[in-house]
This record gives sequence, C-alpha cells and structure tokens, in this order.
Amino acid sequence: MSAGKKKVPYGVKQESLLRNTWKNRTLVCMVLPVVILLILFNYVPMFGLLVAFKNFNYTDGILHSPWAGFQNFKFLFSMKDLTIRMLRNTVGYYLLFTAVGTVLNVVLALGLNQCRNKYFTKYSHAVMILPTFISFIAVTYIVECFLNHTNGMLNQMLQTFGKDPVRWYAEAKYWPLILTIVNVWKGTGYGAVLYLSALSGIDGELYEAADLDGATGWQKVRYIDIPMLVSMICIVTLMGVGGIMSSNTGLFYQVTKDSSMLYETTQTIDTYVLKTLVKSGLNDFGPSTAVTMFQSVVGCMACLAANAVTRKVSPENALF
Amino acid sequence: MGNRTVKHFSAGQAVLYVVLGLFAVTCLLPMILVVIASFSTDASIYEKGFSFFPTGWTLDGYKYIGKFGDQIVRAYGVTLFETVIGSVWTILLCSMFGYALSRSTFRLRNALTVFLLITMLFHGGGLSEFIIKSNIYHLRNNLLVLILPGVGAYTCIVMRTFIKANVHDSLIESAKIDGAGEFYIYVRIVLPLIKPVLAALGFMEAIGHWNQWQTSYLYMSEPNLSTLQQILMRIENGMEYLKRNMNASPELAKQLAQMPSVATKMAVLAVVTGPIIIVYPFFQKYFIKGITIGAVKG
Repeated sequence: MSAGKKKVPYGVKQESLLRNTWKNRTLVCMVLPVVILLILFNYVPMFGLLVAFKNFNYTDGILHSPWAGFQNFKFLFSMKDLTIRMLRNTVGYYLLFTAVGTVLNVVLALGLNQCRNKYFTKYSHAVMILPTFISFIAVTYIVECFLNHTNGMLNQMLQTFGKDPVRWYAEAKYWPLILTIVNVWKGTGYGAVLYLSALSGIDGELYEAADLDGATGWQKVRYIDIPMLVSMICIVTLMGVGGIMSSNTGLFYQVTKDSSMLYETTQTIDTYVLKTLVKSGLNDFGPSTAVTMFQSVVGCMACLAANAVTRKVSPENALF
Repeated sequence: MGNRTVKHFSAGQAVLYVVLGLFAVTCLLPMILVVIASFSTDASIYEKGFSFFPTGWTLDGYKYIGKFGDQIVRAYGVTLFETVIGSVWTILLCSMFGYALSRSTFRLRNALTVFLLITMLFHGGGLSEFIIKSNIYHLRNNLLVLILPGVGAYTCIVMRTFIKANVHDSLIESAKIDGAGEFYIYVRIVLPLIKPVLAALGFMEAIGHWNQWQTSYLYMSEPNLSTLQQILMRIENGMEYLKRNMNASPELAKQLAQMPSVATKMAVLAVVTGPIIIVYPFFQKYFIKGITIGAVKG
C-alpha cells in the first residue's frame, strides 16, 4: 500500500478518484462479482439482525413483521438458566480449546522441528493433518464407534475389566473431556503448520552460535525456538479472539448427536440457534434472534479489541 | 536446521520419534477402525463390539451399497457439482478481486479493502442469514445456495498478498506498455504465476464444500438434492432412510432385511470420505504454503 503513495513525488499529478476509477473500469468490472456477492450474503444479513427487535413471522417477512422493541431480549433474559448455560459453554469451550490447542500446537511444532529425519517429519506430519479434512459427520460416526453403549470400544474395554458400561450419550460430565480430545485429534496437526513454518524461518547461525557456547538441545529450544514463536502465538491467538462467541456446530451439534441430556455441558449459542432453525415454526424464535444479535455485537467488539492490542504489540500484523 | 553437532542417535531423539509416531498413529487409527468395521460382519460387532480384530470378515457392506445405487449416485452427483463449480467459481472471483486490490494504481482499492474487512468484523449470524436466504432470496431447494455464498474476505486477502509478493509491478507495467488490457494481464500473466495459491485455496475450498452439511441440512429438504453428507446424517441411526427411499421389490426388500447394517453404514462412510484421503497427498505441499501465506500480511 505504501508503494502507491511513494510514487506521487515522481511528478504525476494526483488524479481525481472518479477519473482514476473510470480509467480502471476493467478492474471495477473484475471486482464487481465479489462486491455483489458480499452485499447479498454478508451485508444484507447484517441488516437482517433487525429481527431481534421484531415479532418475526414468515408470512410478513423481516420488514413487515410488527416491531417488538426489546421484548425478545427480555424473553431471553427471563430464561436465565438457559442463557447462562449457553454463554458459559460457548465462552468456556472457546477458552479451553484455545488454551489446550495453542499449547499442543506449539509442542507438536517444536517436536517435529527437533526431529533430525526430515522424511519422518514430513510424512508423520502429513498423517497428523489428515483428520482436519474429515467431515464432522464422519467424526460423529467415528466417535460413536468408541462411545456406542452396546458395541462401542470403550464400553467393551470397561466390561473386560469388569466395570459397568457407561451411557456416554447421556452423561454430561464426560463431554468436556470428550470434545476436547476430538478437537485435539482433529486440529493439532493442522494447527502446528504455522508454528512449524515460523521455526523453519529461524536463522541457522543462531543455532551455530549456541553450539559454540555449548548449549544443549533443550537449551536451544528454551532460549531460541520458544522466544521466536512468541510473536506468532500472540498473532494466532489474537486473530482467533473474534470467535469467542461462536462454536463449531459440527462438534457441538453433530458429534454430541444433539442429545438433550448432554445440554448442560454441550449446548452453545450456535447449537441453540441451529436447533431453532431446524424445527421451524416454533415459538421461541424471539430469543434466538436476540441471542444472535448479542453474538454478533460481542464478536465484533472482541475483534476490534484484539486488533487494537495487535496494533500495539506488532503493528505489521494488525488487520487494519 | 540445528543440532548439527550431535550426529549419533541420542536417547532424546528416540523418545521424540516414539512420541510423534504414536501421535501420528492415533490420528490414523480411528479412520482405520472405520475401514475395518466396514469389512466386519454384524455378528462380530454385536458380540465383540467395534474392534480392530473382528471375528468375521465380509464384503457384504460394499455389496449392499450397490443396491441403493441410485440415491448414492445422485448424492455423489450433487456433491461433485457443488464441490467443483463452487470452488472454481469462488477461487476465480476471489483471485480477480485480489488482483484488483494488488494494483497500486487503482485508487478504489482502499475503499474496497475496508468493504472487505467489515465483513470479517461483523456477521449477521446464522439465523439472520437463514431468514434472508429462505424468505427473501427463496433459495430453499435451489442448488445455488450451495455455490453462491462461498466468497470470503480471507480468500481475497490471501490472493492479494500472494499476487503482491509474486507478481512484480514492473511485469504488469511492461505488459501494459505492450498494449495488454487488465483482464488480459490477469488471465495470461497473473493466473499462471499464482498457480500454487490457487491450488492451495482451491483445495481448502473444495474440502469445505465436500464436507459441508449445515447448508444442505437447513435448505435442502428435497431428497433428490441431498448431498453425501446429508445421506450420512440420515443413515446415522440405521439404514432405514435409504430403504424407505427406494421402491424396493419384495425380493429386494427381503434381501435388504438381511443386510449387515453396521458394515453397510461404515462402507457408505468409507465411500464418502475416501476421495478426500486419495486427493489429499497431491495437494499437501500446496496447502501448507497456502496457510503460511495467509498468516503473513502484505
């Protein structure tokens, strides 16, 4: 971007925006399809959030449905237990997955980087990335192979050790652990890619200098690799902050089989809204609209805050 | 990289290999379990549960998929259509957009960048999107809903960054002096130079389409327009859905009654997920590059 500004001193008179746009009309035509699609599928839905203040029904549509003021919000907060549970789970899992994910991604990247056999690194890492590309429906099947009450591998194992089988899909207390394991299985290989590329960019001279000083392998990790990763960790974490209010419906809706007995630990804002949409024509449409409004606004503020922090910490990585 | 001084095989390295190897195996085993289950007899699964060493092997699971032929073939068609058209279209549009943003002489580009960033910051959310798409655009049971909304800010920005870094301004300027128009430059000069990022983002996009279930779940109620993931969702609790949707002759119905249900279910899963695992090695080197570019702002 700065390159464009530097060109001005060459003596070219800054032309008007209109003239410049006309001169670049081919480019305008080239951006037009994306602009139209973004307006249709990103901008218009933003105004669709208006439904939060409406008494929405399908026949009248968004614009003609009667206004409801803050009725929907009132309704949402009157269901205190549900609201608190949704928020707690959404934010809780975000924090849990971010913490566990970051640590494991970094550890895996450090481990892969330490391996001296580069073929081993390459192929084992390729295998670790594979689960990322499997659909959550497939993951649901796989998880069921382990957790099915009668045939599942875990219950079979419990029985061989003389223990009682567990009804996994009815016991909420196990699910924070199960979901974390699934999330780690699916995302760690992929998550390590960035850190690994940052590590491979470290100047070899640093290691040579460390070798001369008699540093051990562990010391090199501790005093070269980890400090080099800190800024990357900050960036990745900050870029993820915008997702604080969202959750993966594949994980929380599919893998849990939307079992209502698990809601205590698995229901998030997104699964609640999805559920509302699926059984359409029901009367709790109102609170769903209110909760998405809340979700969008908080998500946006989190994004802005994260960006402000990034700009302080490392301006070149700020989004804007 | 480092560690050039220690050439012999140390204990630390051995531990590292074991740990990493174990993790790689853990990533792979669940998928192998699915394949084994698709070859196991139901008797084995009822008696022993899901196991890497079933008591009985059978090919019946795959044989019975053929019996549902029509539905699965049609779902394959819809999914392929969505994956191919959806990702090619998105990648082309985003690369054009990225190219325009990368041109420093294009003064509208700052406004367009802001336009793009706003969509990253603020979302209408699933509910509002659903109402708009179904109530205003009437996209229910319309294949367009699977394809159109794919364009995203992230893809466009990665394109712009990659083009800026890899297509030198002087190259474009000299083509202009030779009388080439912007579109001609994009097609003949820029596109060939950005093949790696096209492959990387195209692969991610295609995987996203292939694995997508929520859009079809919400908008496609017509059985003829089901995608593969939707079929998988419906047979999750048994093969009844597929059986119900075929006008089976009495003979066929009798055959289906003896069908090994678990093995068939797993066989369908293997057939749906298999293509990704087959295609993945060819794209692996590209997509690693793709993620890395995405993180570096230009």
